[in-house]
Amino acid sequence: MRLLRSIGIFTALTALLGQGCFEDPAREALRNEIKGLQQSVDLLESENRSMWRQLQGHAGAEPYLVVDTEANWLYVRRDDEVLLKTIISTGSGKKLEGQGGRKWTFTTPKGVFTILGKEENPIWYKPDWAFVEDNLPVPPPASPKRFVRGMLGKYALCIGGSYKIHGTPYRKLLGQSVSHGCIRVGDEDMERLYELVSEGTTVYIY
Amino acid sequence: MKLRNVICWIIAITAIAGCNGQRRAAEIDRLQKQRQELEGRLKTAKEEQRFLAFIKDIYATDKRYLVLNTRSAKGFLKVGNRVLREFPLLLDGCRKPDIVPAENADAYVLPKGRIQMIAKEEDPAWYKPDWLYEKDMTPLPPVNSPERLIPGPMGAYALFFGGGFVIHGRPADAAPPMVTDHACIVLENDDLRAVYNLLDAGSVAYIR
Repeated sequence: MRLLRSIGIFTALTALLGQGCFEDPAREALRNEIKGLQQSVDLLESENRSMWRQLQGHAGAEPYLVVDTEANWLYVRRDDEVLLKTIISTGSGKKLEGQGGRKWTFTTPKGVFTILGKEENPIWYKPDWAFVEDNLPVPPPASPKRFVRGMLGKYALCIGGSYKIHGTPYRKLLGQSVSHGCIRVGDEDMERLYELVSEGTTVYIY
Repeated sequence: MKLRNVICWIIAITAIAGCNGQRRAAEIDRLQKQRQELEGRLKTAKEEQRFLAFIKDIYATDKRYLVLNTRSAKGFLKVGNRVLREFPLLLDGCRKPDIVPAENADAYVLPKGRIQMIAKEEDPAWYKPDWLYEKDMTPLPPVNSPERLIPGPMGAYALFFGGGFVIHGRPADAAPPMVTDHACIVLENDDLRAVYNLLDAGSVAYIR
């Protein structure tokens, strides 16, 4: 009789504990949060999918580059597929004023661009602002002081004007908007990027 | 006997509770991982949405337009409020001939306000008008003679607008500015290519 009772209580206790009768609020809150997140993700992803369908044929079957200057990401995509995603540095938006009222604003240009050229071991032609910024006298255009090796990593892609997508020695700053308008990429990803991209590749910067 | 029973109970309950505690920890761990994964997906989806909104604007062909500010010598290719591209206008890219006959003087005035693109052309040839031959005292080739079509001076592309206004490029060899017979704005080659690719006949330009 006593044995039976013991078994009864034991089973009941096990059932109670196992069923989460003593459910704690933390776990419940987590579940609710996940539920909410899942709903947002599903909604957003389905919206994006339908947008991709609308864009079919526009985005292109050839690889193209996407530069998100707000989040500092660069993607190589083919249609809706991501071939490469890498963290970058884009323009800081800072302003600089030089003698004679010359002004510069260091932003990455937005819009649609084309890869115009590919360079290996690029040499940085130091523009006037680089001297003004360091409080140095601006040398004549052809001065040897203008040509600097190593600042652009091993590879560079030209997108027009004097704007480039290039490697960088300032690895630790990737992810921050600190450049003078160029798009800095980590050296390893820059190498892959260089291989994936050809002259004429479209670049979307926003 | 009773004490032994109580101890037995305590051990049993602790064991179950402990087991449950472990299970609970494992589940919380799993839930947290799930949350992390979802947060990651949400972030990616948001980033993707921003890109899609941008690219959708870009491909809304009929909504693209040009704003050409001749005072600041800056041009903007826009969709709604979004600037797709900003570029310099080379206002002295074309040279007005020294003597313009009075009847052609109007052709050199940049139109202001809203104008529409009529056509665009790759590798445009320039049709040299009569009065320029007359001015140079060279024999006048017949109308529609291929001799009149001069390739090169307008660069790689030309966009023709109403009122005789043209947006075009420069000759490849950086020759001195062409002598022109029309009101025009010259763009750098890569800017011109972008504008050419993104606009079509019917697109609107606002000049001020």
